[in-house]
This record gives sequence, structure tokens and C-alpha cells, in this order.
Amino acid sequence: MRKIFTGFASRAASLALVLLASGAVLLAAKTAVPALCVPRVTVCMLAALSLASLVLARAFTGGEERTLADAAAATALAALFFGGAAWACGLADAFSAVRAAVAGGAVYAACLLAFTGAERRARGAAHPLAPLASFAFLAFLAAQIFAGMAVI
Amino acid sequence: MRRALVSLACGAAACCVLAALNLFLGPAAHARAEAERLETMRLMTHGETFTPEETSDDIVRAAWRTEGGWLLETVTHGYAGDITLWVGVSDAGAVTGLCAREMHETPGLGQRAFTEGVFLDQMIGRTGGVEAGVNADAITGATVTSRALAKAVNAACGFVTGVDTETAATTWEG
Repeated sequence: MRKIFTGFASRAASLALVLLASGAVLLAAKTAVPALCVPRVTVCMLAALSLASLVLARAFTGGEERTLADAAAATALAALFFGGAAWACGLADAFSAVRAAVAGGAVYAACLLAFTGAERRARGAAHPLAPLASFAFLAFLAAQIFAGMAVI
Repeated sequence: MRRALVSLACGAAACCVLAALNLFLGPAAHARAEAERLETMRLMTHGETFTPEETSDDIVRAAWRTEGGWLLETVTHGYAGDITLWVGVSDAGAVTGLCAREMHETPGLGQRAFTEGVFLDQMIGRTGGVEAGVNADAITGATVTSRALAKAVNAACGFVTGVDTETAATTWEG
């Protein structure tokens, strides 16, 4: 089992898990509190979901070395998952789902490249999770500049 | 190849679960939303029955007639996109209630207009002519939001009384 979930597969599975959890929370919240003003799908939100899944994948699989092909495959899958999840949650029609997929793939790729760099630097540190967590937090703060850019 | 298939299966499974959850919760969510909508309408106008009325106003996008007043749905441009606001207005043109239905204003700034209540409270009883920062306290650091809400209130009152909110001219006896 652990052999299958290596490379891009671990990252794809983590993203699927994060999207499933956040989508389920959203649907439950909308049912329980109908007057809830649901936040828009923004670049900032896509970055938060991407970073959460990358941290989760790192926690699951440890610091294994990954290739550029792994990154490309993970990005393509992330685009599919973002589009699919937005459509499945009823947040988007077919056209908006494609927009979510394109934006999600782009944001995920940017986060993945930055995260991989930080991950490699972190291998020599006393506790590898400390710089990763601080990077994820800082990257999330940096993504706030896109807060006004709605995707859907 | 095997890893790619497993990854795709994970994503497909997540999307299927979400779609199933959406389908399963959809009717309950719709029923609760309808009940909440009606309850909010009653609270804002003290009316019982609501009859939809035609509107061609740029700001007032929907209107319901009720006993002794109106419930109007206004859409104005805020700082972070459109603000959909329900405004209850009596037949005399006075605001009886306000409720944000959709907004994406900045937390800690524009959202304070909705969460702190002080800004919206000062609109109750007004009959239009509201100018944020002039005859109504504006939210500090959220001028655009304050003006958008004032514009919505003025448009709603104008819809009922017939006052042209852009020129302040009366176009209908109201």
C-alpha cells in the first residue's frame, strides 16, 4: 500500500482527502446554516487547500525525493481534482469548473515548486516539520494579495 | 501507470462522495433555506404574505409586497464584489429591517458593517437621503462598503416613495 502511495500519488491522494474534507464541511455548513455567506473560491483559498495537502503528503510519506515528472503529474491531477470538487459541491457549472481547474492547477504548481524547495532545505534541520509549517503559513499570508481575485 | 490509476481513483472517489453528499443534503438544504428565507422576511417586515412585484430598477433587483410595506432585494458594488442586501421598507418609506444575503467584504474592515450591527442599526427608521460620513456614521477603513450600503438603503426607500435617489427629484407621488 505504502509502495503505491509514493511520488505524485501521495500528493494526489492528500489533495483528494483535503478537498473531500473541506467540501463536506462546506455542504454540511450550508445545510445547517442556510443564511451563511459562503466565501468565494479565490486564489487565496486555492493556495490554502494546496498547502494543506502538501503538508499532509509530507507527513504521510516523509521526505522522499521527487522528480520534475512527479511534479507535472501531481499538478495535472490537482487541476482535475479542483475542477471536479467544485462541480461536485455544486459551486460551479461546467464552465466555472474548467476555470477552477485551470486556476487550481496553476496555484498548486506554484505552491508545489516553492514547497519542494523548502522541503529540501528542511532536510538538514533539527525538526523537519518546523520550517515546513512556517513556510506554509508564510505562503498562505503571501497569497492574501490575491484575496480579491475570485475564480468562481 | 498503477500509481496514476490509483491517484485518479482517489480523486474520482472524493468527487463522487461530494456529489452524493450534495444530492443527499440538497433537498434538506433547500427546505431549510426556504424556511429561513420566509422567517427572515417576516422578521424584517412583520408581514405574513409576500407577493413578488416587477422591478426594473438597477439596484432593486427583486421586490415583494407585504402587509404595510415592502421587502426589497438590492445589489450594490462593495469593495470586494457585489453586496446583496434585503431592505424592509414600510409604506411610509421608512426602513424596518436590513439583512445581508451575500457579501464578500474584507474581514475586520468592510465586514464590520454587518457583524457589529451599529452601522445597520442607524439605518432603521430612515426614509432615504442617507450619506455615509455625512448624516450617518461610516465604518472606519471601509468607506466603499459604507457608501454601498447607504446607496442600497436610498434606492430601496426611493423605490417605495418614488424619490429619484440620483437627483433627489420626486418622480412619483409616493
